Amino acid sequence: MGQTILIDPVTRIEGHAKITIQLDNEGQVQDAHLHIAQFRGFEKLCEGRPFQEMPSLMARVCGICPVSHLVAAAKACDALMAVQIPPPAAKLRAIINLAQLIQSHAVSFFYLASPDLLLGMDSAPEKRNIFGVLQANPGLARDGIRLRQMGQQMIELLGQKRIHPAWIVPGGVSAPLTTEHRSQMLQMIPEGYTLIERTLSWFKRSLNNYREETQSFANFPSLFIGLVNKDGELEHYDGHLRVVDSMGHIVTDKIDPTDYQEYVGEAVEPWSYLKSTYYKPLGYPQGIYRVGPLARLNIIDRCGTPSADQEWAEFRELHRGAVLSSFYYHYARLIEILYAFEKIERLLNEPDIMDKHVRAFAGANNMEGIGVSEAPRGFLIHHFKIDENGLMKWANLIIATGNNNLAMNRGVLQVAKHFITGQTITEGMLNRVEAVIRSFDPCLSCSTHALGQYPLQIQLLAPNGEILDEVKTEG
Amino acid sequence: MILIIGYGNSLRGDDGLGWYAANSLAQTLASQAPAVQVLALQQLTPELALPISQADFVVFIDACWSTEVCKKEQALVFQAIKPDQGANYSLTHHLKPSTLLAYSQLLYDTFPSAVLFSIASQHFGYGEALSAQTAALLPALLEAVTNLLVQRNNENDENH
Repeated sequence: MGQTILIDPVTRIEGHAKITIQLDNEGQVQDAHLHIAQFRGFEKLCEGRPFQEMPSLMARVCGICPVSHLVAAAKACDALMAVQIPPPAAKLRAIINLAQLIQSHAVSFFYLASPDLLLGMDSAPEKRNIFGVLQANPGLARDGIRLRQMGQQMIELLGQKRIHPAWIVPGGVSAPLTTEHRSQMLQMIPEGYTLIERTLSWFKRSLNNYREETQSFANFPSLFIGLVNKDGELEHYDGHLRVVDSMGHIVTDKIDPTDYQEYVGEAVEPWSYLKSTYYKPLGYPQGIYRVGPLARLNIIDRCGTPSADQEWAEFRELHRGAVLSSFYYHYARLIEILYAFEKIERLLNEPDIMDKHVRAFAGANNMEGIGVSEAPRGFLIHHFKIDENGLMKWANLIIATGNNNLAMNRGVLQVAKHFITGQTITEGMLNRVEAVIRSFDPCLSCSTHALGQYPLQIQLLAPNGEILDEVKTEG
Repeated sequence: MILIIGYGNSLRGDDGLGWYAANSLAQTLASQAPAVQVLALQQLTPELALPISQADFVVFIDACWSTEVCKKEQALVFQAIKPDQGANYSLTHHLKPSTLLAYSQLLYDTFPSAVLFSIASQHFGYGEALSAQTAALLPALLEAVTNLLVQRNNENDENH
């Protein structure tokens, strides 16, 4: 019997998790698991509630990406009502979803990952925090803070609230865009371009510093899945699902999201509350796939906006076929922020964007509805069934982070095998095991968690339970 | 510019104190905008460092439950806040006013004078209302904040 290393909790992610690393008798890494130790139960607690409540209720799943849950739930309700929402309402929903992507990606890159990227994986843990970043590169930190602020301001201008806006409703949105708010958002765009282009430039110059990480951070072959529009371009609000393999070849295309159950299976493992989704035609666990920014840039034919397309072309040169290293999730996030500003500007200049007709009204006309959106971390599906009174009977949520569960686990194992040797744990080893998880930016239902409040603990145990080595850090 | 930031969760009883107070002050002080700006928020976030750095004076309002000051069970707590890099290392949640002042100092080379108003409380269960005890003290808190602003205005007038 070998030994076990426990990392509990994993820090600088959105939620609570721990990692166990199993060593064999020779002290080599044999297996590793990412455990999601929290349980939410939203699919159950919504039963019996009127379906019209679902967008607001389901948005409480998360405090970082509530807009994506609002969008997916509202689209499922649109399907229950059997309405086609007014086109301006769809554009406004797309804008707020992209604004959320900006703020969420900014949190991930600048707040959570930048201590690793800027200060180095082996830097002293007491320095590897936001104050270390502020001191080492205050300009980068200022850019990150401003980018997140812009995303939040756009959400607030549209939805009246930064977190959990109630503006996205079944049938559309509750209020049209005002001239003043449109103008305020357009005024932010040029600064947004400046900040994200400066950050992209810095990150690309820094890539050589992370050569070992790019070659060891979950860079295995897998499928990639996400939404694309009818022209094969980047899409976060609507469109169809496309599956691409590690060579960049399209495996399946034009999947109607309402058919997701034919393609996406959900497996349960006893060591985690997070389901492991897989591509059904390949079975479990062979059907491992990745979603989110890296996947989205791997599945598309082009972004569809000029500056993002230039960056995307350079990004795709990193690897023949699909870009496989999950370290490049960080890179992909920056390109998506650039895209989001371009797309928001384009949508705000659509001739009907100020139209007053932004909501369709109806009761329940279908007993089942499915809605999809691209959340910052990957595609998200809300699937509802109701009774004849419009009360919820059943719900199924395919959450973006769940889509990456198999890949995150395999990534932890790969990094552990690469960096952990012997019976002594170094801070650098520990941080890289955590950092591979951070590259996926998992969101483990944010509303219940606290960051940096818990000590980090790794124990190396002998077969008899004796502690051979132990690392503790304060939160 | 004077910035008033009231923060807390209005779904968790007295934790919503700052949020309720800020909404009330936003109405009573509306005529003083933009010299006085009021933000009612659920929590403190890093991007507040920017408006804080642009303010001459910041008033934070939050419920009080664990600090040594509150353990003394003073009904209305008032304390000056200074930048503190060691306050905590949280990145997106549970920031403290002192941490935000440190952000302002590091990022923008400046930080304003700041104070924190609190009411000591033990009622943080689910519920969209303040406890009777805290609700009874809220007018005193609002008056204290308003008086402090008047006092600062008077001092500024004298200095000019």
